Amino acid sequence: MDEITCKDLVELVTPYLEDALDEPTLDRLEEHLVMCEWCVDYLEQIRATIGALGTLPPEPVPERLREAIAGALREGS
Amino acid sequence: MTVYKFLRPGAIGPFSGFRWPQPRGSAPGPWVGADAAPVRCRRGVHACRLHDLPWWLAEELWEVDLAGEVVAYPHKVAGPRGRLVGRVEGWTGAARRDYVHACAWRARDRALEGLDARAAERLRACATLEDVQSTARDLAEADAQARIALAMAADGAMTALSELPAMGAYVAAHAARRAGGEAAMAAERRWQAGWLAERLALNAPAG
Repeated sequence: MDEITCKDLVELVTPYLEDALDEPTLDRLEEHLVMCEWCVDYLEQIRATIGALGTLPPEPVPERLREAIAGALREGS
Repeated sequence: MTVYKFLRPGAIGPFSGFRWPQPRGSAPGPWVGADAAPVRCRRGVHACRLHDLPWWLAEELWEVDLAGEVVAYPHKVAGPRGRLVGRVEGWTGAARRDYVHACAWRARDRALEGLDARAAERLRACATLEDVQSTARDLAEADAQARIALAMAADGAMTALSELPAMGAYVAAHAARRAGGEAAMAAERRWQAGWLAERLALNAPAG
């Protein structure tokens, strides 16, 4: 990848946060972040969202929804 | 190991948002970090060698001590622990302005390489960065082949006039890359690092 644009960064943010980028792409992404405050803000928002969602307890699945899904699966099989 | 670190105003990490404890008087700030080995972008204290500086520009420049086993990456180093030793006082608004202006003129010079003699003469004759910006834009409309190099020259001038050193350094580096590939970009980054080292009287990392 030659240069990373803001649009590219949006696509790359998940692999970046999962430490799954190859070295050259990571270099280019960091180079972009240094000069782009918008993308730093975006990255912080994603990090904050992940952090906030990570603290939520799992919601129980409503019984009616569970039955509807089970019924749909039975009909489909 | 003594290296450098760019921070936002108030000694705040640009990406982490971490507010670094600052030195008091002549004593370095307290150590920050843990004993675990650093992991790029994830754990540890990240800092710059002299040649890494242009990649990480921000408003404040600090001298930093790293302790423990230091890991080197292509454009930075990281250690388990670090502390701020002292601020590089020469990295002022005036120095940032001079730096980004120097980068802008170099982006202008890159654009000259791909122009015909008449267009090159017009761009070379520009006495101010305002002139570079407007002339490069004019020329770009008439020269499809050199359009991108000229747009980069105009962008370089814009970053200087807007006092955006990180972006100006980026534009100059990528203008070089466009003209001469990865080696030219690396050479441009070395030139930028040399400018900073000379202007700020920085020494190569010790320790």
